[in-house]
Amino acid sequence: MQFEDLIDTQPLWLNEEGLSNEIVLSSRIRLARNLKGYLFPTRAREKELEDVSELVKDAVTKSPYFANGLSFKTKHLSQLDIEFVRERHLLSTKKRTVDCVVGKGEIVSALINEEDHIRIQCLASGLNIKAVYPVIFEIDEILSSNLTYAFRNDFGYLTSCPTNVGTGMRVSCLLHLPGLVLTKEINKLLDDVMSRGFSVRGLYGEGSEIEGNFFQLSNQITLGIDEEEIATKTEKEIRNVIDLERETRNKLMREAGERVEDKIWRSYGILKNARMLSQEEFVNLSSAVRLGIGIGLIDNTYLKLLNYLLLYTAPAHLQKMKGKIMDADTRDIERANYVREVLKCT
Amino acid sequence: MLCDICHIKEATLHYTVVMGDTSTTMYICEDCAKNKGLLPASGLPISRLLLNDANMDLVCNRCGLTFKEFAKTLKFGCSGCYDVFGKDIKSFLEKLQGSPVHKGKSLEKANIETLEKRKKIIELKKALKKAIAKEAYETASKIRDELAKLENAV
Repeated sequence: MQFEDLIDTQPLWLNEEGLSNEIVLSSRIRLARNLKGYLFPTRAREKELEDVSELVKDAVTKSPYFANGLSFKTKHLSQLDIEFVRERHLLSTKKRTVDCVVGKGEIVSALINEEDHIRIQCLASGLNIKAVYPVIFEIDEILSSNLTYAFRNDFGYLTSCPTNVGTGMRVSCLLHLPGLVLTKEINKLLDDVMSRGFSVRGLYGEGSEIEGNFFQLSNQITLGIDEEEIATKTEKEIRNVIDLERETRNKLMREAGERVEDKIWRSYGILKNARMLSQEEFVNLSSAVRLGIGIGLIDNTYLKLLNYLLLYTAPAHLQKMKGKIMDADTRDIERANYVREVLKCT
Repeated sequence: MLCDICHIKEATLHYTVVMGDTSTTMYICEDCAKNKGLLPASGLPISRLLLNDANMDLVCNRCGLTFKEFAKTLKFGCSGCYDVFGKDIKSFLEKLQGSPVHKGKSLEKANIETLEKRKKIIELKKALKKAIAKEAYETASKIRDELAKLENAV
């Protein structure tokens, strides 16, 4: 597979399958690992990083999950392509020395020489931590039998950042919580969630803003707790948030049903008719329609389209699809055209 | 209440870092907060506070990272930093993560040794091929002996 083929292939985690898909967009586990005997990427020289990259790529491709995949270096990508892979959740930094290996369907990927020598991640659609867990550790096992990890019995897997040391494991879900936002219960909930040792971020991970009522919830603690416990506790926390969101949606519909319905159908109308749409506007309007699907007002088949649009109307995707660099106004026009075209098909 | 850092001025700010079921609270005067870059507007991680008692003069002999740099960036430079900064890191991790001890999957020492032997075997096999190609049979026979020994051990 070639880099340029990425735009034409949809990541499998975008399909609307998976549990609680009306609230949970995707589930992810990532592991941070480093090699023994090499400085961490922030301090290593280029030659050392190249050696690490060769070793890790060699080991990663031994896993069948990476067969027929794709490998690229951020160093060789344009600014637009960097943004493009970031929108696809394959990359979270702007660092230019990172190697990325992606499995078919973008279910698994490995970042080499980002903050740590190795970051492997596995994604699935909906609430699906249990499906992701065995895959990520199968890959980890293959890597650990082909590479020597930096490990200490007392601190576990050694990582560049002390917030990852121990298991190096981060479990997260991307949640859509419009009910809790509309009723303004979200801040209290987030405070509670954080006080129990979890962190909450925006759509694109660390440092990103909360947009379109999307929240990424993940475990904060990686040391003094084993991998299974991290997965179980995080899933429990997420299920709790899902239950609260469902309860709040029901309450909203009981107490202000017409108002909510009006907001949903107006948003639907704008998406189907607008001639210019900024990304922010699209994300917010599609959040309302997504809520409409969740409460059964709008047909379920729209969910897959909204997931697809969420990715493909992001600025870099839009420009890659059209094959040209566009200014903000042109993007807004093309975004509106594209949204109308996709929603017309239903 | 006096400031937890300078122990001189009256504390006017308090920072609570919550980790799992436990939390650590520090009471700080405004000057110390400013000096440590901890006023809310600075956007710096409050976890830096947890390094308050550490020995700032330590330097990692492998990657050259100083403890001062670590306190600034909160990023280690290599696995050796964990050895050099050991004691201070242990209490830092305990405050940051709620526990200083790994409970997850373990990479047994035996595994590592086996792995290193396996790597050596791969290298020797390559050398053996080269030696045979060069018709250096004496070297090849020595390599073969070494290989046999290692393979038995694994």
